[in-house]
Amino acid sequence: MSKSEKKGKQRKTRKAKNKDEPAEQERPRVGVFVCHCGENIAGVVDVKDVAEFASHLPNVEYSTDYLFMCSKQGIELIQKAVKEHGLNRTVVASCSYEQHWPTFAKAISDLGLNPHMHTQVNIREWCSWVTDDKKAATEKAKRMVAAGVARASKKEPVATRKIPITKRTMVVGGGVAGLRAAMDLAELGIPVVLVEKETSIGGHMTMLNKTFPTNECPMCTVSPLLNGVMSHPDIEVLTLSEVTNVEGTMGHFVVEVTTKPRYVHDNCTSCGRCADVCPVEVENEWDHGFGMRKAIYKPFPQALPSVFTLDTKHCIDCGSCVIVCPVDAVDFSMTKEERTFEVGTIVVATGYEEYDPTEITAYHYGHPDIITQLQMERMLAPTTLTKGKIVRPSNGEVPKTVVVVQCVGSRNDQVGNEYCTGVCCMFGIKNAGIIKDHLPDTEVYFCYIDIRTPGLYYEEYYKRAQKKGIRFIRGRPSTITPDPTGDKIRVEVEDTLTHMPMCIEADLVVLSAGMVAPRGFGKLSAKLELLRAKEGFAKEYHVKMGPVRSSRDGVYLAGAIQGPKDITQTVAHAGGAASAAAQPLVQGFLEKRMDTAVIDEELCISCLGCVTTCPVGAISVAEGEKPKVNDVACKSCGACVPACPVGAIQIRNFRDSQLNAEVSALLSVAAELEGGDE
Amino acid sequence: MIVAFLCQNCAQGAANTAGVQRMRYSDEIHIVRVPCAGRAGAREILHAFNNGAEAVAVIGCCFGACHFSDANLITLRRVKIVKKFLVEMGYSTDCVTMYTSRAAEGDTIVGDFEDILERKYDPETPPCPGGAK
Repeated sequence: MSKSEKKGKQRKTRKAKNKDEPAEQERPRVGVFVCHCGENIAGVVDVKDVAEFASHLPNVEYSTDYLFMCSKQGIELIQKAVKEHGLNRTVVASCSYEQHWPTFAKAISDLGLNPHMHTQVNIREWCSWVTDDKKAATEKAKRMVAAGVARASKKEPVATRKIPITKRTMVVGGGVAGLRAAMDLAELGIPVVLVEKETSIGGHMTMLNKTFPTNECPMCTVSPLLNGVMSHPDIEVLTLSEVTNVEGTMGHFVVEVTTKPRYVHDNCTSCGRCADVCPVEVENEWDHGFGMRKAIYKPFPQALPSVFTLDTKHCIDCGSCVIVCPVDAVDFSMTKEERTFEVGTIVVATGYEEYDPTEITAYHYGHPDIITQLQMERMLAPTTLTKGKIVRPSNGEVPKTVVVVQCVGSRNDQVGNEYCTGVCCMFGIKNAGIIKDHLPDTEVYFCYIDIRTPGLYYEEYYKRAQKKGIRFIRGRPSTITPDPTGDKIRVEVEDTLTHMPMCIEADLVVLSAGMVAPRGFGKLSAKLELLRAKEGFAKEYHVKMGPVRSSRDGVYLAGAIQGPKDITQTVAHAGGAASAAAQPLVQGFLEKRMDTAVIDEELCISCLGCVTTCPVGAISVAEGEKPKVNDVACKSCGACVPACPVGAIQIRNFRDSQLNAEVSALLSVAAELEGGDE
Repeated sequence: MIVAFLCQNCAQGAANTAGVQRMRYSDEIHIVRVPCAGRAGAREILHAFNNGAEAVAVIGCCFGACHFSDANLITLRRVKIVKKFLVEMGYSTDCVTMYTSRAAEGDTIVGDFEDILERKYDPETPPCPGGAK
């Protein structure tokens, strides 16, 4: 194979003869750099003492400390020391591997050293931030540095290989985030597969009636994007489809997508004759109880793709639609389809779900006059049964008193959602204002805990709503109960500004339900192997510096799946995700670190323990030969190493000798330091 | 001294989160980076004991959430085998345990650390191999 492979082999045969011999021919010359990280480390750990201690460790040629190692000056300090003292390995005792290993590895690779010769010791997250006692923290840091130096002395250079990449992206979710990401990617010339679970694309945004802070029509804002995505030659839109399996790694994902049958072919002209003759009428899920549809339907007039869908759950097989269809598009024989796509990166934009307030029993959600904000949006929309009029759903009368209740299902640890959705204040104020505009004689109460309107023009929007005459009451209602004797709804709330308990007799109650992670995301995240935060949303790589990257390489997050967001933030986030997902594809190749498993064929006894252990099936064996590792497939987990009875299979830079050296150094230094104290 | 082998996904993530949240745990815990909990087997655990570790913890991702398919289940089995060795040698089985943690929740790993410390200090159990160096 490659040169480095050969080198590795030569080296190992030597190692088999003499196990204690260092991995490199060159004698290790280690430099230790202890970072203060401002006060983060130096405030607890005596960094000068640690650096002084490190200078007496075996193989250490140079040690120092500095205020911020990751700063330009810090990096120059390291580079200068490497040049002046002829160092061939560096140990930086600072923060986590994830945060700054790449920084320092690049610093030494700029000087011609192999980046893997850098060892990161985490004395911030794992030491100074978790220990109170300064002396104990300093001792711990010394032990960690000693272990790091021992490990650095045994490290070996690892090659990087360029792997060609599949130039195509999959976007999961066809809401505004998914659409924006798909469009941005396609504009860069990258073919996109857009997978949407529902019958049409557009997501929650198309359900809204108005958007804050301009009270614009969201359909008008999003339709150029919808049409653009549908007609773009580089975007393939799959509706009624779900991701059923994901295999492979960044650069080469193999994604299986199952498409449910629509029972209507794409040649449908959307004339609507089928829906006219269909005898079955059911509630339209898309309208959240404020509209009806037939068994063959389009959820809303502007739905894209502009094709009807047959709902077999409610269809009575009368065949009227087949008869009237002028283009013979209705086809009952369609079956579900499974397709496999090879993609380089994946963007997850599955959005959010409105919190279901039935869980809060004191609010009696389920009563027709207690509705959520999304239902309010549908009620205000001109296409539904109410034709945009504000009425009481129970009897169709104009409400005289409306109460808007904020923080339903968010900022509520009783239901497990401690976070603030952040959007409800704005859409609550928006809908309260619209109610007041439509019905000036109606009293609108707005029960809130805090008004949170950060952002340009948002506070102004709130001020305008105040001037409209909406009554703002600071307090979370304790109960919302339908009056058993009349048709009113009693909202009991304490105005915490005046300490006055109140009981509002309302005609209509609108609950500002928070945003939660969509149901079914657990399944998808398991297939994509994504980490999820405790709230159920996908966990981002870094809250500040990597908000669009997921925990897995090659999978990016767009929009509300990373956390609650309004449309402005979602679109910006999706654009970021698109550019992050495009970056490796535009580059055309991927750099894979070859710190993979290697088999010493001389030691191997062909027991095949590693072959059966490998969780990714990267080790294969041919008849009469020793097992072979597929370098590209190997994910460097190391599960094969303990499976080998003779230690023939090893992970580069996580070899038995390297790990054992670290543990030995740590424990011997611990014993020494303890002995020294007594 | 306790040696904790932490996988680079959930366990190290959880340890980093615990640090960011400024949680507190004993300075006796020493973390050793491994790519996956599956990298720590009988050889690594016994090596730690032979060098004077008082307890060893192997911490990986939650079962079903391993980033390498099911390597954490393999580890669980390996740790059980090590416990059998220790019983045969007349030592406590409490001093080596496999734990799981979640990267987003620092308290999960701090709980694991507290648990292994408690096991180490339990006077009721037979001695740990690391004590008799």
